[in-house]
Amino acid sequence: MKTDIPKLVMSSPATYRICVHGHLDVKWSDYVQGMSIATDYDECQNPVTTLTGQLLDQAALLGVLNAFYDHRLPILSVECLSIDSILKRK
Amino acid sequence: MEYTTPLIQTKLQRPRLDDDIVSRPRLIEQLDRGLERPLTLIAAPAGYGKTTLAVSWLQECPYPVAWLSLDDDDSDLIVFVTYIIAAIQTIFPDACPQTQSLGQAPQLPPVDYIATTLINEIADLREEPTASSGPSFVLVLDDFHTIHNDLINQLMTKIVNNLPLQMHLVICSRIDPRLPLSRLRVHRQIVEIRTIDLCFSQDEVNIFLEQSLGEKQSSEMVALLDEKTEGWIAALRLAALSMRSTDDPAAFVQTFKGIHHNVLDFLVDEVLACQSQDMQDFLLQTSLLRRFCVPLCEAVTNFDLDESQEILAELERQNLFLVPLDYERSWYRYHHLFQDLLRHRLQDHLNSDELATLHCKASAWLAGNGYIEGALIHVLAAGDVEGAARLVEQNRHDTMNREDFNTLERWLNLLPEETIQRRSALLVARAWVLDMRNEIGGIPPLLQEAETHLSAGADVGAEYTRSLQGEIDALWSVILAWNGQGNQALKRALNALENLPSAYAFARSFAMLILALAYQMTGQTKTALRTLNDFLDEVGLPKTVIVRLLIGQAYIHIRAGNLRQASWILQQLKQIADETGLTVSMVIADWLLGRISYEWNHLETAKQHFAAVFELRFGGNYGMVCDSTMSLALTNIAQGELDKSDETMAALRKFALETGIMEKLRTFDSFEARLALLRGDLQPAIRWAEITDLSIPTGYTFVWVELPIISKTRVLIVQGTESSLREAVRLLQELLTFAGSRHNTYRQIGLLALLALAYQAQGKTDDALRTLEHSVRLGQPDNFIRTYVDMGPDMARLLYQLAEGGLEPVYLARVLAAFDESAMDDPQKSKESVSTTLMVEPLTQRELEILKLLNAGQSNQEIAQALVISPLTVKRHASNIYTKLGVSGRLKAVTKAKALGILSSD
Repeated sequence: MKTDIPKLVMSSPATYRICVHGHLDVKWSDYVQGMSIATDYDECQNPVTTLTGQLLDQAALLGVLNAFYDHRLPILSVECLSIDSILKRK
Repeated sequence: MEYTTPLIQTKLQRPRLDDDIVSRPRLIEQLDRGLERPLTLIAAPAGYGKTTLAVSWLQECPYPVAWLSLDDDDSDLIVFVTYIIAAIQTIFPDACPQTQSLGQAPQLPPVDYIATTLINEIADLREEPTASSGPSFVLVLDDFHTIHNDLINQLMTKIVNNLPLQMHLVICSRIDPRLPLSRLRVHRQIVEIRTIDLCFSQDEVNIFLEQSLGEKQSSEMVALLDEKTEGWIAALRLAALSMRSTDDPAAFVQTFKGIHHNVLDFLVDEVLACQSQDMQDFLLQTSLLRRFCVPLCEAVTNFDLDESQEILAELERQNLFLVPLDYERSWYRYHHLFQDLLRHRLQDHLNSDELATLHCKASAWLAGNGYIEGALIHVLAAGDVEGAARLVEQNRHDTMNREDFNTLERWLNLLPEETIQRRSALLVARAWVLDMRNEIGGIPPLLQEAETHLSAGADVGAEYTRSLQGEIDALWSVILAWNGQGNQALKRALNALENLPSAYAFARSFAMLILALAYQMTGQTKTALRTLNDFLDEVGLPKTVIVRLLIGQAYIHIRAGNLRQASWILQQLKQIADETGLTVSMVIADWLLGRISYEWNHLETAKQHFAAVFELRFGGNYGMVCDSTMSLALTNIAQGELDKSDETMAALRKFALETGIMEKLRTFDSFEARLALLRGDLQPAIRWAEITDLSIPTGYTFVWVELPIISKTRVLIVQGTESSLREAVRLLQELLTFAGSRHNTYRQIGLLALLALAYQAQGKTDDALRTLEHSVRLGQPDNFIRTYVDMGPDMARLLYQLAEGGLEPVYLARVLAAFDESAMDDPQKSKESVSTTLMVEPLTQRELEILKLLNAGQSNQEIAQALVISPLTVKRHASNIYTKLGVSGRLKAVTKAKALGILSSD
């Protein structure tokens, strides 16, 4: 049986992992659309924050990235972990 | 609108709808339901029909709509707020006056304060709607993704969290705004239309193709386009355009089938290929314009007015992504996505020189038509930094005459720093900005640099050099005046006025103000006032200039101790400020009227003025607001309300924290020490005086309520040791010499009184009385009262002795009566401390007789008969009695005389 691997389109909800340089405090949780926040330190003891969670679509993803940009938090990586059940256009 | 930045009105117009839109009842219904929630977010990439959906929804919406199309220029908090208010004012013309006035504040008020003011003013717009009647209006912020400013995000977060029921907010954005979206979702405060909703369904693709191609398309064709475009409307429209213009739609579709990426690029190329060469040229050349009208197209392209007009009409007819921005069809823009794609092609077609030429043409037209900021952006895009610098130089006096220093600062920020450093006019412009922000310290280096350039002949043109030198002189005169160097300030200000052309209205009025202040500082008060009066007589002065001259007059009068004249001028100032919404001037008027009322012991009036200042605190000069609020604390104490004075001081500290004016801390500490003294709490005051090292200030001495060095002398006098008194006398003598040399009469009156207290404490009564007499002679004409009363019972005793000696009996009786009231009002002080040791000016034997008869309830006629004098004489004696007792009628006179022990209380 052929499994239908969903294709990522502009409107796809998807789970992302985003790593940024720096420390995000609690007030950020309102602005990252419910992604979980975990801060760790790299080998040079610089704080690196990893955010994981589902985002509604590309506008939401860009909104989160843009917030980092506006706050001068450099982005280390953005990774799409899974493309979630795509809602068919009616 | 004389005082505000000119707004680009087209940004406030709701774009018109294209004729071929597909109606989308599913989304409209979703949006309608969303009106029950405070916020609607329409978020999707470019070309998904966000704006179209909003416009078509709102056309049917029963509520009035305020529309604002944002762009990069608006990423400035003040500009952003100004446009929001302008949008709201398209529905409610008088909306949000307070928030609007914050835009002219000399310093940027805290974001929270702006947000609260705006929220409250929106809530005031109409009576609270009931839940069923919905909002009073809808505010749409289109293209919100262009905003990159954390202050604006903070403002919006605060607004979204506290949206008044009167307003429904709609945000259209390519990417999610930085708002607490997850929280808003949880609390069901937001309705969202996202990419998935905006994509055309296959049905909608079908309808769309039929509408735009004029006939039903095969289901194969619909399926192909649906698959290729994924419901992306911009791509569908381009595809339809190509199919309509091509002779061979089937061939087009075949090619399209084979395209797997960059669908849009392919489609734009197709669409352009179908256009005439002229049309292609026009599209590419105009693509670098953010918005355009026919004359601007003519200026930028190779086409004349008629041709441009024709092409625009054709674009509109073909529905080629042209968005009319107003109903008169004078301004247009391209759909953003289409414009981006055209611009990429333009950059491929032209070399950088050709591109720069286009930008320069655009810039020239925009500058010539008053769109300076747009002109700056294009001339900078052309890489012509010098041209940009010239543009700022040529137009800065317009903004300065409008006192729009926010705009001037923004323009300067667009220029590279090294360009500013090289040009004296730009250095001078920056100096004016600093001056308006009260950041005087940064000005001298700028002026020195500018003068170096001027003397090196770096700027050409004798006339221009002269005008610039005039501005530099004006700014130096400010610095010199603040440094207390009256004569040099005077000279510079005179030079400035000689060199400044009349078109530099702002700079001239400023030099005139400093000239007058310098005249007064050097003892030429009459000349000072005449100078300002002569200037005020000139016709056609802008209100801002008139206001500045009135403020100058008020300052001069107060410093010269002419409180009555000052009060009269300040009333005028308050009226003009009220009419024109000039908050800074309003604050000055209320602050100084409050100070004068306080001095006159009109405490209730004073309190009202100080409260008005605090209300407008973020719109005024922070130093003045602090002074006014400290004066309010003094008023509270004078009224015996110690708790209120604590509250006032707490509010002042909060304000200082919010605004970051902690440099005032030194004044705060000394003022707290002074308040402690007034409450009879000596220890903290003495501790403060011991640890604080202060020198005699030598700058411009105004009439600030709190000077730490003076408070120190108060503490030293109360300490009352031999050495502390010696130190107090030394400091006061020095302060007096300085105040005298700068002709600050107001200050002299208080300093002389303090010196008298110090002498008295040293046991030198003769010196004390002589010094106090000097003070009283200066204070009497304009009725100084609180200066003395705040110094307590020791001062009362001294004044009483002077009054006994026959000095100014009527005036001193009034002052002494005020001591008495203040003691009665103040439960903390024993009533006896003043009443028994101090009596009002003694009554004469005859007055005493009459007072006794008044007490016995006899009429004037009866008293006249008893004493064998005329009733008129009785009346005169009685009125003297009332004056000396500081009361207004016979009953009160009798009561007070009993309280003072003059009449025995039977």
